[in-house]
Amino acid sequence: MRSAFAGSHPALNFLFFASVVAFGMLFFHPAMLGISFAAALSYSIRLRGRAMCKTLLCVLLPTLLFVVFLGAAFNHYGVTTLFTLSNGNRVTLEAIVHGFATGGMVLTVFLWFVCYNAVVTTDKFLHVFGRVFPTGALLVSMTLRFIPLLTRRMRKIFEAQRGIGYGGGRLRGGLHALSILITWSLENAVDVADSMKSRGYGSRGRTSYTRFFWTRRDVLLTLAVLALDALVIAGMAAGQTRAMYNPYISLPAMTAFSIVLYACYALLCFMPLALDCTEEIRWNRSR
Amino acid sequence: MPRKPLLTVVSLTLCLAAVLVGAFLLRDRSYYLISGVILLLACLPFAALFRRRHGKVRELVIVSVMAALAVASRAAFYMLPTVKPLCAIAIITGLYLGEEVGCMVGVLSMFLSNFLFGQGAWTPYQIFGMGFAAFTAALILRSLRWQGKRIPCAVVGGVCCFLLYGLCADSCAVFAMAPDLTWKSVSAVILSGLPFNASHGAVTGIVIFFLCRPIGEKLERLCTKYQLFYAAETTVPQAEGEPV
Repeated sequence: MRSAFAGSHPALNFLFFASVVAFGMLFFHPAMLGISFAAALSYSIRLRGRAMCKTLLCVLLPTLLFVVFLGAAFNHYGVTTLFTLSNGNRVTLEAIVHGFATGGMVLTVFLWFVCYNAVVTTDKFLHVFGRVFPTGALLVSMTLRFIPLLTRRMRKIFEAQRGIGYGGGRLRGGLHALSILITWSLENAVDVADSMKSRGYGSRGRTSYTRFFWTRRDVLLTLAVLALDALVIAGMAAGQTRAMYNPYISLPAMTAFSIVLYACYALLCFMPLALDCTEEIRWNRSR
Repeated sequence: MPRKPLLTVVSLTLCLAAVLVGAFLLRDRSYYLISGVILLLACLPFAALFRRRHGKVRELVIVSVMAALAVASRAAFYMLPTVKPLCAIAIITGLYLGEEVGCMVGVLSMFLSNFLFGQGAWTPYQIFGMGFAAFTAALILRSLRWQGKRIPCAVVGGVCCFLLYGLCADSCAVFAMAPDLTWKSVSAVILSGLPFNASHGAVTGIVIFFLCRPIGEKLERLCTKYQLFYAAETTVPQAEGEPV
């Protein structure tokens, strides 16, 4: 689905994802985890629709439960025993909660990456990193493009082998296909390079076309993200995001500051979704 | 091609420093930052390579193809975690195109394949380990002029993968799992990773044994045909009518 956030400046997109992924991996506090998880989940469903729900139910939820199960079955720290297994090991509340926190963290970061991959396309990646580090950015984007291409070529080779009735067997046929693939791709690489050169790659004074411009909204939102980042980091420095699960669950006391912190974090995480919703409402009204 | 291992050694040392800074000062939390820094540092020798002979786009694209091959080879065997031909392909590339190029392919493919397999605290360590292993294996084999010999290549490659990559990848687990860095806890973590690393090294050796000649022939042929990499300065000038 087209997202208003995806239409804003790539630098803003990068800044946003860098902050939420970094914060997502830093915070073990249940409130912070919950906010980030909810935001990542809803935004990924908005971006990917039904396919995302399917992945979530079939892959991600089982993974989460597996992590929780592992944590509860193999960690026996904690003071609150829920029940004792037949071999004398205790299953504790702390281990289960910690398992949920770890699993939720992994899941949240994964979901943010799903959103990232939908929003930050290769041209945006190149736009942001191309000027700072042109060769590296080019290599990364070119390699990313070659991976599906090689897979497709491999399939073509297999089909051709089958078509001419080649009976090399699985292993030998596979090795031959690999050999063909390497020759083909390396020769093709030279053609690609020549094509790039003839279109002016690396020549002096060449400018590159860009579709991205800073609008006033982008500037304002970037400033907002930076301010929210600063507030969240201040909260982290004040110890408001610390959480301990071993030996007993201990969270920092709820204060006015921590509520402001949660609100800021929620504002940050839900920013793209809010932007999308406002745009949609405005669009529907204007019709 | 005059080789410049010094620059690569310096940049690998800087990479190690970045990993250690990340582990101790940032308490291992900002691994994306560190992996970005490592990627940048590992590119240093390569960038120097390209600055010297500007306009060699062909070499750039070939490196990218080799890295894509390495990523695809890792993705093809995703069911078997120790079967990662990635390391072998990086070493073979280093063997025939120069150690800096092998290092670059290892770093790039590890970074990109982790987009498919999940980025995390292990990314910088794996990137560093892969670049380090590919560079060292290729440096040893090239300086001994053992490129065409399959068994020495397989042995040196496997051992480099086992020792260097294994150690670097495990140090992630050391920093994550052992809060008190004592010899006992560190050796426990490293010993627990030993079987995995041994099988990874063995697979790397086997893949090098089987693929080093087929891939090497193709790379050599390409270098000779288009005057790339090492062939650029050693062989006769380009023939008439050859597209530049």
